[in-house]
Amino acid sequence: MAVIRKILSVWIGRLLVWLTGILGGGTNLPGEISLRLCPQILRYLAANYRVVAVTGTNGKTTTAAMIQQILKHNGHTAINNSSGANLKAGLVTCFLQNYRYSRKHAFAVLEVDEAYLPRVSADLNPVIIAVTNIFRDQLDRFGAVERTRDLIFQAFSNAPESKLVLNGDLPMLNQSFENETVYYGFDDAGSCDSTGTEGRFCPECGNTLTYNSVVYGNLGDYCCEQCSLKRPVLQYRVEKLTQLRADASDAVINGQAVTVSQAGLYNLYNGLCAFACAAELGVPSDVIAESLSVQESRFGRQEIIGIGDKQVRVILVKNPAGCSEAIKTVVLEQDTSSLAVLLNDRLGDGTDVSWIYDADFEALSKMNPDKVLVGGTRLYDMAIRLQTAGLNTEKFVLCEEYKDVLDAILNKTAFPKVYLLATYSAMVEFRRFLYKKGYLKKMW
Amino acid sequence: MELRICHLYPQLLNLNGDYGNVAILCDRAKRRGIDVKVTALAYGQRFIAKDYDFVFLGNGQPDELSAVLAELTAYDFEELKKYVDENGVLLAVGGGYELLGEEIRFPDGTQKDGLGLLPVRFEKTEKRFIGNAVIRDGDHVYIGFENHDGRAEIGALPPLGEVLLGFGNDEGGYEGCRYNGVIGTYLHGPLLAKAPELADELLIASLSKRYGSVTLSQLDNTFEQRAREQLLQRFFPTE
Repeated sequence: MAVIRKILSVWIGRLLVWLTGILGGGTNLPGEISLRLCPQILRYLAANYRVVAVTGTNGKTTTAAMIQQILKHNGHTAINNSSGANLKAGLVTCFLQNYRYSRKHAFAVLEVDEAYLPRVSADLNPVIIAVTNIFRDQLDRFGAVERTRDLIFQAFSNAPESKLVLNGDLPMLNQSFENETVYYGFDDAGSCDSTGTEGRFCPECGNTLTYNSVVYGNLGDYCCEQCSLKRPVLQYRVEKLTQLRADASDAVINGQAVTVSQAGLYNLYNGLCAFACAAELGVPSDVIAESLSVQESRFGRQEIIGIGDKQVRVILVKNPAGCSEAIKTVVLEQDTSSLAVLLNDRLGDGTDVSWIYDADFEALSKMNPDKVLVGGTRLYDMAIRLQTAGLNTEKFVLCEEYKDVLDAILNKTAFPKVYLLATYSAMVEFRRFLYKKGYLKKMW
Repeated sequence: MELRICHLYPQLLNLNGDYGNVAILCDRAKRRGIDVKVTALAYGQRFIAKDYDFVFLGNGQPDELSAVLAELTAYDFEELKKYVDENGVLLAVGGGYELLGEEIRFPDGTQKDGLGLLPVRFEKTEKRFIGNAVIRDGDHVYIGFENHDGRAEIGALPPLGEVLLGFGNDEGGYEGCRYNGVIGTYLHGPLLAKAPELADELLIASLSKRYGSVTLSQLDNTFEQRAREQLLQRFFPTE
């Protein structure tokens, strides 16, 4: 009976994948139905794969995409839940969509939502669990960073055979786990960034931490003067930060020169995490470096969309730490460009928009944008925020609808480059709007 | 004219973007040509009442709030009491609001003393009050977001406003409280972002204490007004 349910679940799931694919895709319905027919289906589907699970507050999608591409570059078959479907039904859907690879002993590089990882880690039985970072995210959803950390640690103990690849620069990951553990981080960030609203407290004794160097937020080379906790030994390290550019970063990781083709320190962390995971899976350093240098961005993560004669760079922003880093990256741009910010407050974005006051929009004063387009469901809140941050309100173009954003990009900006910061649903909705208007070849 | 702001322990109490209240006051003052000096009081630094025209106390995680309460009780109580008794202007949000009260009672029956500077009692509940919130204060409407598990019993004190949407102090129809120059509230948002009239009221009160009667030039509040119109239309759709 159990076998019949399993087979039925896969068969119906695959049928639904085919049907929904015709209708445009982007749904987890096949996975939901499959799970209902056979609740253990995820374990069954995952068993044929070597699973790499990537979790954390920011960077899951980008890091997972990087790891997948590196593995493929090394000649392996690797699947990925590329549309950001990182809850249980999404994972099942991903396996159903890729069913033709199930007999090839392939890799499955999966981004998994932090809250769901403990529920699926045993079923997935990953060879590696990677954690990018843990930052304050949607306050109205999680309530506290500690809860996220506890959920992730629970996931580790549910899968004790999995090797952990962890961000060594994040104090709260400094623990001894039953799992085999490997750490990555920055040898020397060069700067001592004392801003940021992430807590810098010792996870052991609660004392304020001292930092020899800070990369950003609370990530860096830390130590506690009260209880002598210090950063663990790093197996994978950025030994040299050669150059940060507006469209890429150059660095040296474990003796290998690397160019990460997506800008920002936060993407360098993602590249470092991907490097560590790939190296642990036996991929040679030079192959990793080659892959990272040609990495294209995924769905809404620093994706470049051509609209008319404009190049719109879409950057997803979800929370203060990620948003501040995105802003720091945008201001590296030397050419005069325009700025667009779309702030939504749907469930996936965080319904409490006060987080925008914890992000460093003041840093935008270093940029001299041609125009500042402001849109999304909470556009006026964002306008007030940008006004408070010191931006020149005469440059603001308030766009109540996506058609107004499109019109402004095409007709009101004088320069070709537009940096578009958007919260999750704004990014999805604007892309859907552009797809319907014919500016995008594919939706997902 | 100069405005001297004290932000109490921003490194510890900095949840929910409440720091934005300070940013908004600074911006509105500067746009009128008023110099602003913000002192971010660090853990270990002492608070001196006469040095400030406006004080802000924000929200934080339970551990950080306890640490701040202990610190203020041990070292700064006298000066803070002096500040409040002399009608110093103070905005306290969320956990900061709770710290100023007389006591906080917990669901397990235990209780903790607050600073006792506000005659308000708080009760923590199993329920969490989360959501968009709208209150009316005379002619003005303030829109914010609440996220608290505490109820405030303000007794005979005047509230900050009447609840049009949300839970307020204790689901009794009112939110926040006013006492001397203090405003306590559960509204994040930050509160002052879409309440330019309240922000200006606080600016005038803060500066008047030092400079005598003060008038402020009118600022362009278009974004704030449009924000209110748009959100009120969304929360209370008219047929």
